[in-house]
Amino acid sequence: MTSPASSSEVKYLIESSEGNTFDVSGAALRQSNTFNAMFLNIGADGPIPFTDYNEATLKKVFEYCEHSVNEENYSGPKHQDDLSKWDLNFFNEMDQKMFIDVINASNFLDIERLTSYCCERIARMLRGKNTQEMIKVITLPTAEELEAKQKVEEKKAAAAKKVAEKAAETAEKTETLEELPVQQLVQTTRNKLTRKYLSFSNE
Amino acid sequence: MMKILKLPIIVQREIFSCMDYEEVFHFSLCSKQLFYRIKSLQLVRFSNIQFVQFLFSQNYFGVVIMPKNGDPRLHFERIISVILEESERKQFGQIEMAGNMMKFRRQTAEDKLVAVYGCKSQMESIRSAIYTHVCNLFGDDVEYRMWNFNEDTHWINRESV
Repeated sequence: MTSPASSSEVKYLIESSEGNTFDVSGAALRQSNTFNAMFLNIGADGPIPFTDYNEATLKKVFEYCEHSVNEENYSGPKHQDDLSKWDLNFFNEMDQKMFIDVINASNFLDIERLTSYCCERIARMLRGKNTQEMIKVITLPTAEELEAKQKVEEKKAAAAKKVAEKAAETAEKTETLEELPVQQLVQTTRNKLTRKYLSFSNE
Repeated sequence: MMKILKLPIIVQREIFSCMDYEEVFHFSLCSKQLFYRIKSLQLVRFSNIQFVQFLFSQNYFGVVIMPKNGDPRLHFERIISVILEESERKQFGQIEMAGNMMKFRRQTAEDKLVAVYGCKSQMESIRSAIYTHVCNLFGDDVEYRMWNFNEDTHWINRESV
């Protein structure tokens, strides 16, 4: 944590999942109930680790917090139509992956205002759609996810191939090992029998 | 991808509470998992329903919801209706409800969820499928009313049906 002169300009260092740190003003952070519960009274010596979320997501969330510092106290969810131009731009800039990350981060940081706007937005996305369209919105995988899935499947197939090859090799080895004692056994019994036969014949 | 079921439970509850009853009901038709998730997360909200009314006549079947502490003219909410298939509208979708594949008219924001039937013999199975789905979703604590257009009005609790 940096230690500026006045308490209103306190800045905190936030650490993201990449290990990068960046400044966030105390006023913006105070909108997070999680932060209030964890650090407001005791303070933080080093950077505050929010390592479950990447830098871009955290910056987006705190950008919203910085913007809404001067707004009135939050009093329940506002209708989406009442959102300001800045708010609309803020939401429209995000792609779906970022949007989901922002929802998760704002839920973890317990920023009521942002979470409720995001939820309202999802509800709006589903409004006026038929069942097939709803299913498309909520379950269809993106191209990136399909690629990732394909890669995972390829890796699994390669691993399975390796295991099968190893198993085949070990099976060959065991076959040769099993053959040796049988041959030895046959040889020894044959030797014994010949010795007995010779002894009988001598007698 | 918007995997709603993978979002935190609190967020899911918030999303469902942003929807009105018709949207929640429609959303519950998407999959069984969603149906059970909605049912479990909206228990408190559903306990605020004053009654669910089934309106039926020979050619029409509908379900409306009346929330508690509300003006009937403002808050009476139709969640689904079943009508005879019209030749003008030719875009349909199919939804599975209580094991029955039902034909639904393609709807827009203004045109609410409307199931259609081709012949009168289908009406009975559609009616029972909707009845089962609605009762499963809203639970046993809600009061269910039957209103037959042709006869006198009846109020029946689900337990006595």
